[in-house]
Amino acid sequence: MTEVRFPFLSLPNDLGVKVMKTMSLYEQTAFSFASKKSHSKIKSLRIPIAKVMIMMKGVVEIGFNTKELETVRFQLKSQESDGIMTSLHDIPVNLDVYMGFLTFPISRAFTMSNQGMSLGKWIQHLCSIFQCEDYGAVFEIGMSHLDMQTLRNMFPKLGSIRLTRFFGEGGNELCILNTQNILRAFLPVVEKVQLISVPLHENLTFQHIGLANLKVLYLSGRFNLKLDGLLSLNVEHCRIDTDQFTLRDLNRFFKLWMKGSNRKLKLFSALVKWEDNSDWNILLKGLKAEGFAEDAEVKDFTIQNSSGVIARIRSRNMGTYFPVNFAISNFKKETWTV
Amino acid sequence: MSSTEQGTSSAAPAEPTTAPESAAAPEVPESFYYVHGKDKVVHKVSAGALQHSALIHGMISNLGYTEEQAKANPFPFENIDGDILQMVVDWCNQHKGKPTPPEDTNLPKQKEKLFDLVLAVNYLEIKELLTYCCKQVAMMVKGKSPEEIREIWMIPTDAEDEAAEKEAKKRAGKEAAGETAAAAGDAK
Repeated sequence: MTEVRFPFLSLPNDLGVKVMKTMSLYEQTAFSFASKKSHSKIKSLRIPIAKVMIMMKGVVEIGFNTKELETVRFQLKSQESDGIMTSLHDIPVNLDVYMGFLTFPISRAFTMSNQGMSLGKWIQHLCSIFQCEDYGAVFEIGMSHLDMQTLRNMFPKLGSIRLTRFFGEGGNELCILNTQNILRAFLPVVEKVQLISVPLHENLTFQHIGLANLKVLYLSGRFNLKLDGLLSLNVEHCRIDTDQFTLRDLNRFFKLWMKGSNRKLKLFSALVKWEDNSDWNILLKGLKAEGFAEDAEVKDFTIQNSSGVIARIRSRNMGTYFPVNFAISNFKKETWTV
Repeated sequence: MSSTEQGTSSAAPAEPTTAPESAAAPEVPESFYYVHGKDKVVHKVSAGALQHSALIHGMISNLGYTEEQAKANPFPFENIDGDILQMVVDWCNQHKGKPTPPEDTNLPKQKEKLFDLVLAVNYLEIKELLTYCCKQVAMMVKGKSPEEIREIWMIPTDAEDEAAEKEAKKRAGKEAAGETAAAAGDAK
């Protein structure tokens, strides 16, 4: 190597800190792998970072996002890149580092060696460098089968999880088991859960998930949804992008909310399939709707519960589907994506 | 700065009263100070340039030297190499009375001397130059792998760290044993 060498560790501590703070996200990360001492030096700075995302797809990918929308992603290439991941003890072949800004397509910047560390150790190391406000994970069901203990031990304290179904996969028992393992491992700790077309089973249904102490629950795709699950929801924000509830179900749901159930709920959104015999009045029946505004497309009214909380219900006729949105007054906008 | 102030006060009464307002402010004679490093080579630097250094600026403010006194008593910086001090003086002269740009192209390019430069700049408390120097140190490892960073920044591996720690422990143990033996000998 023809590079000029610099005795970095001989710098006084305050200067070392100044240099480390000047470095970019990637260099700070790479420096943390130079030695245990350098790792603890970077860690001691407690550099804030907006989000860390762990993506368990065909390959493991860990992404750092800053508040300034800068992003660095580490893609850990497994030896069997087309196989199913069953353990985090495997050592990746190497890593591709992608850098850029969230608003632009990011490009591959470097390739790093595996540092002799397993996938699990990589996840733990990368999640330990910065002071993160929000750890999230995305699991593609059908691409990995990890047991609950491995998931709990190897992952940091997650704030959100998203489970999606790998195309063509998801119906078999192994996928159901995988979904259950992930949900059982993280439901007690996460705030946000997003489920996209993943297989659920009677052991762990929508009702079970809704009872967990979540802030946000977002479902998309086909699920075996029942009104009981809706009535026992213990979440602040719930969005169901599936047409499995009828206007009658929603009418009952809102009526019970008026009587005092679902007190935690601040925002709710569901799709209703509009059929020829559908009647908008079914939704309104017994709701004592006020401030009613109606045109051919939009229905808008408010209801009030026994504690005096007012909620606005708004619906727009989209042709085949009829989204019904419920929001209590003073509600601030929610981002659904994990 | 007393020398500057003296210059102003002596020049002010000589100004013609009819002079236009724009030309009323007299040209303040620039005061100079002298610094030398380890090599004893004396550098003449203007007070304006030296303002970049919080340390020297503080010294000047406190001492109140006249031009002659300043010449007779150059500020000694025995812990800074002559060539490093020259680099710092050059940078201060180039940036005299100017706002420092976000990217400094006048930064000394000799990376071999960067370590000494950083220490000198830190000692002299030249905030902007220190920021540039730290940036340059950080730039040395831009886009480098952990192995390359280890090489460039001379970071020992964990194994080397452990070996050094063991060695230090062994040495400390031997020294402690020696001291105990000596104390026992004294007691006898």
